[in-house]
Amino acid sequence: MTTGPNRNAENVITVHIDPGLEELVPGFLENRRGDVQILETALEQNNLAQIRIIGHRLKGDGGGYGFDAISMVGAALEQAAAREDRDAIRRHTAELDEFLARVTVVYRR
Amino acid sequence: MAKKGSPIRASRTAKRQPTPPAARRSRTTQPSTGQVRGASRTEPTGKQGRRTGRTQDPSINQTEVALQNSEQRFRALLETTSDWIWEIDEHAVFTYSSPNICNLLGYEPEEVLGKTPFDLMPPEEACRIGDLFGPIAAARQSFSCIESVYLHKDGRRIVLECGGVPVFDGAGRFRGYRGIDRDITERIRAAEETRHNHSLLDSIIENIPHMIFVKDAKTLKFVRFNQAGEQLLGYPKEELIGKSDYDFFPEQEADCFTAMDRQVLQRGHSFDIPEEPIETRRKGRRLLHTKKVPINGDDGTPQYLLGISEDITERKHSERVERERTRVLEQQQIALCELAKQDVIYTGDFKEALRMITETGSRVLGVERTSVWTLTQQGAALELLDLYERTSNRHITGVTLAAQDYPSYFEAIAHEEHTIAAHDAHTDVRTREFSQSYLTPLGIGAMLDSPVRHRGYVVGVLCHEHVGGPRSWTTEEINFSSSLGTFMTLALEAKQRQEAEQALVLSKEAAEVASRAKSDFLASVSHEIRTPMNAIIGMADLLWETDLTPDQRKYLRIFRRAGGNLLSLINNILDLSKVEVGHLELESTDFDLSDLVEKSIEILAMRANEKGLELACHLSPDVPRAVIGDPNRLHQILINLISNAIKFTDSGSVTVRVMQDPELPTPGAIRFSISDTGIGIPPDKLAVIFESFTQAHASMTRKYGGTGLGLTISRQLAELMNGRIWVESTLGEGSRFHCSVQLAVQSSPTSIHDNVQVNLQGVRTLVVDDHATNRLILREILAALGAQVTDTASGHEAIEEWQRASTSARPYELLLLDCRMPGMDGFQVVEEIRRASPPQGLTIIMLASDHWADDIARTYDMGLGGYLIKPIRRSDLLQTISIALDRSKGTQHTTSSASVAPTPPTEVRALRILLVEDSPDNQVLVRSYLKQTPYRLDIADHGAIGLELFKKGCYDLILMDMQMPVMDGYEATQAIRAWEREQDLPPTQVIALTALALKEDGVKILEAGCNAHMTKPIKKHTLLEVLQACKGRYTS
Repeated sequence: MTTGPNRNAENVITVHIDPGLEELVPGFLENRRGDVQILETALEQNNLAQIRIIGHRLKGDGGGYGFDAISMVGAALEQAAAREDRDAIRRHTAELDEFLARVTVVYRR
Repeated sequence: MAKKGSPIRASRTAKRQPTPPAARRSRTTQPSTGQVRGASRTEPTGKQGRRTGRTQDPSINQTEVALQNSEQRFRALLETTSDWIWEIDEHAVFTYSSPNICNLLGYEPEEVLGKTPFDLMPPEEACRIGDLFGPIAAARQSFSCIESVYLHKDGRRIVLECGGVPVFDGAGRFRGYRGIDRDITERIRAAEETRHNHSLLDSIIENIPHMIFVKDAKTLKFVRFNQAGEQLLGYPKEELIGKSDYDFFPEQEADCFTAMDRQVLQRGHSFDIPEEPIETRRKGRRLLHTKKVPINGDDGTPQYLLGISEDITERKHSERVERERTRVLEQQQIALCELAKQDVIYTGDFKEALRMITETGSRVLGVERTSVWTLTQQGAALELLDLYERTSNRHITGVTLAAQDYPSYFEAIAHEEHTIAAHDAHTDVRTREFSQSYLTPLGIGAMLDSPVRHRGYVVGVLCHEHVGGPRSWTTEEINFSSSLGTFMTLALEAKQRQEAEQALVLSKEAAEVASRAKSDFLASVSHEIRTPMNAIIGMADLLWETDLTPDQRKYLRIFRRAGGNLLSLINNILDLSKVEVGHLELESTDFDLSDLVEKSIEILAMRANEKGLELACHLSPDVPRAVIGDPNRLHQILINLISNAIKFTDSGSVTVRVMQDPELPTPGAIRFSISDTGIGIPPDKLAVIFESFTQAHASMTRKYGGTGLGLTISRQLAELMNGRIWVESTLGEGSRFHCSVQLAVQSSPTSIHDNVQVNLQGVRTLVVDDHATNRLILREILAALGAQVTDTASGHEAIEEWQRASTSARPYELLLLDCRMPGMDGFQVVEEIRRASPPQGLTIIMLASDHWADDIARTYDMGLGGYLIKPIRRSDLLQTISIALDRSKGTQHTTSSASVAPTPPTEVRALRILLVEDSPDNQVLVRSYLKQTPYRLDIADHGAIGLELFKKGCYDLILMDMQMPVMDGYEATQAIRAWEREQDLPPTQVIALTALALKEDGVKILEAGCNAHMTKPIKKHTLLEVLQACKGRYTS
C-alpha cells in the first residue's frame, strides 16, 4: 500500500466524480496502487503478457470510474507491452504511480 | 262491176214512205248529155216518160202553161231537195243525175253519165245490189227504201237509200228507171250508234250482278228483267215480263212491294230499302238491299219504276258470323284477362288456381267438363288434379289413367306440340281409345286437349269435353285452350316458387336458430373457458420463476408459448361470437389517440426490426388527440392491422397514417391507413379475407400462421365504432388497409401529453434518411412547428447540402441523421462534417436503427445532441430536439443533467441482466450503476460461466466483455447463439463491452452474434440509456 495522496496543493490533480461512486472509488484507487506493484514485478519478470492484460484492464475500467487518465495510461501500457517497449512500460508505470499519488477526488456531478 | 245490160231488180223491203209522186213527176233529165242544168225543163212524169213536143195549139198553150208550172214546181223541188235524183236506162247506165250527187258522192253529174250505179259501189255491194235488183228490174217493179253502199269520190262509204220507178216510153217499152237516193249514212250511223249503245247498256244491265227490274208505272208489271234478276228469282225473263209481283210472291209480300212502289212513284224520288226479305223459287229466303227509282217520261209523269236489288244475304250472314266470332274472341280475351288478374295464379295457391282455370275453360268454351291432369310415374299415368262439371257446378279429383290403356292418346300428348282438337272424339285416332270406357258413358262427343308445359317439358294436359255430338272447334277456341294451358304453366311455376321460398324460409330459420345457439353457447361458455386457461397460464408463469433444469425450462418454455397462443385464439373466438350475438359493448373513456397509436407501434417495432422493415407512423396535425372511445378495442384493431402488415411483408416498410376522414368532415371521424410493401392480396380475395377463418392465401396459414379471425373481429369492432374497414391491394406490390372510425372529441382535454412546446420558428433543419416516408413525416412535423426543413436521401447529398449551406447566410442549425444508410451512414456524415468545418451551434440528432444499442452508444461516444429510436414518437422527437437545442444554446434543461436527453419514462419493467466480465472493478462498477434501478444483475467471471448461467436462467440482456480468460466474449456469444437456435428461442440482446475501438473489431463483434457494442469505459448514463432503450423493445 502506498501512502495516501500527497495533499500538496501544487501537485494535486483534481478529478470530479459522480457522488454515486463515492463508495467505490477509494477501493478502486487502492486496487490501482496494487496494480502498480504488479506492473513493476511483471516488468522485472519480463511478464509482458500480464502487463498487457493489466494495461487493457486499466484502459477499460479507468474511465468508467471517472479516471480518464488511468484509461489512457492503461492503453499506453497495453500498446507498449505489445511492442515490448520496456522503457515505455517503465515510464507509464511511473506515470500511473504519480497520478495515484497526486489525485484528489471531488465528488460532485 | 255493173252488170251492163242486166235487168234492174227492185225489191220491196222497207216500209219507207215513198217520195210524193208529184215530186217524182217533176223531174227532168237530159237525154244522153248527162248535163243537169239549173234551169231545167219540166217534164211530165207518171205518163211513162213520154215526151211531148211543143206546139202552137191554144189547147197546147194551156198544156204548155201546165207544163211550165209543172216544170217550175219540179225545179223548185229539185233545188230544195237534198236528195239525189237520177235516171238510168235499161242497161242501168246513168242518163241523168241531179246536181246533188255532188253533195252526196262528190261526183259532178257529168262524171257519172255513162256509168252504172254499180260502178259507184264497192265490189261486193255491187254484187249484192245486182242480185237484189235482178228480179225487180225483170219485173219492172218500182222499189223503195233499198239501202246500198256507195263509194264517195274520196273513197268514203256512203249509205244511200234509194227508191225508184220504172220508166216506159210512149210505146210502153221499158226504158230504165228513175229514182231518188237519200244519204242515210248519218242515219245509219246514228242507228248503229244507238244500237251499239243499246247493246252496251243491255250488256251492262245484264251483267250487273244485282237484280235490275223495270216495272211499268201504271200497271206495275215487269217490263224488263236482267239476268241477275232471273237467277235470283228463279224464273226466266220470258216468264217475268208482263207479270207483276202478285204472280211470284205471296200476297202479303206482294202487297208490301206494291204499296212501296206506289209511294215511290208518287213521291217522285228514289227510295232506299236497306233490307227486305223475299222468297225465291230456288234459293229460299233471301235478303235484298233494294233501291227503287221512279223514271219519268218527258212530260214529267212517272213512266217506269226502276228497281235495283243487291242480294245481301251472304254478306249479312258473314257479318253475323264475324260479329259472333268477334264476340267470342272478346269473351275469351276478357276471360283470360280476368284470369291474369287473379292473384292465385301467382301466389302459389295451386288448388284455387286450378279451380279458376277449369271453371273459366268450361264457361268460356261452353263445354260441360273441363279438367286438368298431370303426368306421373315418368309419363306412365295421368292423374286428375281437378275436374269441373258445369251443370252440377262441382269439382272432382282423384282419377288416374294409365298409359298402357290409352297408348295413342299418351303418345299424342307426349309428342304433339299443339292442342289436340278432336272434333269427333269417337273417330279421332288420338282419342278413340276413350270411346267405350269414357266417352260413351258420359255422352262426350268432342274433346279439346291442350298440353301443359313446365320448364319446357309437357307435364300434363288441360282437357275440354263437349257433351253431345261432334263439335267443330274453331281456331279461336283452340287458341283459347292453349292460352289456358299457359296459365296452368304459370300456376305450376308459382307453386314451385312458393315451395322453394318456403323451403328457403325454413332453412334460413333453422340456420338462424343454429347460429344463435352457437353464439349463446360460446358466450356463456367464455367464462367457463377462461377459468382453466388462466390457471394454466398463471401456473406456468409461477413455475417459470422457480428453479428448473434446462430440460424443464425448455419444456416449460414451449408450454407457456402454446398457452399464450391458445389464450389468444380463444380470446379471438370469444370476441367474435360476442360481436355476432351483440354482447360486445364498447367502452366510452377519455384517452389520448396519439399515445395509443404510438404505443401500438412500439409494441410491434421489435418485430418490424427483426424482419428489417421500416415501421413509420404519421399523425396528421388536424387529428384531435384528446378523444373519447374504447382505447382497448381500437388498440386491438391497430395491432391486428399493423401486425398483419408486418407479417405479410418481407422487405420494405410499413407505414401507419392517421388523418381526418376525408369523406366525413366531422371532428372525431378518423381514418387509419396502414400501407405495406408486402405480398399483396389477390383481387378476388379482397372481400373474403374479412370473413371468419379465411385467409387470402391458403398456403399463407402455414407460412405465416394466424387463425384468420383478426380481420373479422377488427371489422366488427370498426363497425361498432360507426366505421368500416376496407382494403386496396396490388398483388406483389403491397396493400393498404383503411380503417375509419367515429370517436367523440373531449370538450375539455384533461391532460395534454404534448406539453413539450418547441418553437422551431426559422430553424434551418436538414433531415437525412434514405426512406422517403420517414423524411416526409419528419419534414411535416418539423415544418408544422415552423422549422425550415430540407431533406436529402443519402449521406453524400447531405454533406454537399451542408457545405453549400454553410457558406451561405443560412447555415443549418439542426441535423437529423439516420444512423444506417446505404453508402455513407449517419456517423460517417458527422465525422465528415466535423472534419471539414467544425460546426458551431449545430445540433445533431441521430435516428437509430434496429442496431439501436450500437447507435446509442456511438451517439454518446461522439457527443452528439441526442438520439431517437424508430418508430419515432412525435413527443419523443419534440422533447429530444428541445433538450438538444437547449443544450447547444447552453441553457440547462431542468429535467435532467444527463449529457444526452433521456427518453420519457414509461412503465418500468425489471430487466434481468447478465454481466459477463472478468474485471472485478468493472463488475463492481456496473453493479453500482444499476443500484438505483429495479434491474436484476447476475455476474459471471468469464464466458463459460456466463454461458452456463444463461442456459439455466432467463435473461433479457447480456453485457458481454469481449476480452476474458478461459472463454472470451466472441466464443461465449457464438455459443449462446447456437444454443438459442437449438432451443428455437428468439435471440437475447447481447451487448458487447470492449475497450477496443477499431472498426474491424466492430465487425467481428457483430459477426459473433452480438447486437451492439459499447466501448469501455462505460459511463453510467450511457449504460442506463441503453438499458432503458432495450427495455422498451420487448413485447409484452
